Amino acid sequence: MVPNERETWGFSDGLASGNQFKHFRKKHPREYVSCFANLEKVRFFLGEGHTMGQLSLGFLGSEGEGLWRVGQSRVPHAKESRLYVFADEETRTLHILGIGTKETQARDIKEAKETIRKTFRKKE
Amino acid sequence: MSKKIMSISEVAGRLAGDPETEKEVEEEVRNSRLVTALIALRARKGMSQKQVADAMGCDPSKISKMESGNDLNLRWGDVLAYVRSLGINMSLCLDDSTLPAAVRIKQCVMQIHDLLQGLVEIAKQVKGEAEITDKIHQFYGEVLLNFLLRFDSGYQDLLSVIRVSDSEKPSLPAERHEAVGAERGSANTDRGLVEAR
Repeated sequence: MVPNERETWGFSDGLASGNQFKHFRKKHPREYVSCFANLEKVRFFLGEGHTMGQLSLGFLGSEGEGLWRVGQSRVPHAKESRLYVFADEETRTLHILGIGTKETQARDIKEAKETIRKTFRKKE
Repeated sequence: MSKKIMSISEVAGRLAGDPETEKEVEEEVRNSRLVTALIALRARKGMSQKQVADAMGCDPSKISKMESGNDLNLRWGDVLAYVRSLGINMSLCLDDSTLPAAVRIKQCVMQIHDLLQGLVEIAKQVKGEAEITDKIHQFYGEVLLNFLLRFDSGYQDLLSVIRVSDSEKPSLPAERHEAVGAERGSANTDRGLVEAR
C-alpha cells in the first residue's frame, strides 16, 4: 500500500481479543473509557504530523519494539490501566492489541510484542 | 487484517460489545476537545511540557495534569497562561442558543467582519515590505473572491430554509460584481471567480 500523506490515522481492532476487552470494560468501566479517550488524543497528535516518539504525554509510554501503552488519567481511585497499541506509519493505523492492569502487564506486554513480531516484523 | 476504523468510539464500543460504551467514549472525546487542541498547539510549537511549565512558572506536573484530563477539569486561568506561554492569542466565541436564529446569524456575520479586521492588524505588521505586501494583495484577492462565492452560497442556503421577500434581499457584492461585468459586456464574470479558487 502506498502511504498517502493526507490520509488520516485510523484504528484497527483486528488483532485484539474481544473477550479481553469485554471483560476489562465490565470490571473497570471508567478506566476503559479514559484509555480510549486518551488514545484519541494520540491519534489527533499523529495526524498533526508527529511521530509516537515525539509525543511527551503523561499517559503515554513506550514498552519497546514499537509497542506503546496508553494509560487512564484523571479517574478518581482508578485501577492502573494500560491499553496496548502499535502505530503502523505505513498505513497510518493504530492497531489495538490488548488492555489490562498493572498486575497483568508482564503477560500483556509479552503477548502484544509477540503479535507485533508475527504480524509486522515478518514483512521487513 | 480488518479494515481501518476512523471513530475511536466505534472501535471502543465494538471491542466492548456494548453500544453504551460507544456513547460514553464519544462524550469523553467531546469533552476533551480543548485539551486536545492545547496539546496540538504545543506540539506545533515544538515545546515540551517542561518548557511550557517554565514559561508559565509552574511545575511540569501541572501541565501533565492539564493535558491528561478533559475540558471540564481545566481552570480558565491555566488555559490563558498555557496559550500565552506558547505565544498564542486566544479569542472567545460565545453563542447564546436561546437567541432567535436571525440574531445568531447576524452575530456570525459580525464575527466574520471581526476576523477580516484582524487581517488588517496583521497587514500593518508587514507594512513596507514590498514582496510580502504583494503576496498579501494576491492572497487577499483570492481569499476575498472565494469568500464571496462561499458567502453567496451560504446565503442561498439560508434563503432555501427561510423566507425572505425580494424587497428585503440585499444586493450581494458578488451579484453587484456580476451586474457590473454584464454591463461592461463581459462574457462571463463568474469564470474569473472560479479561476481564482
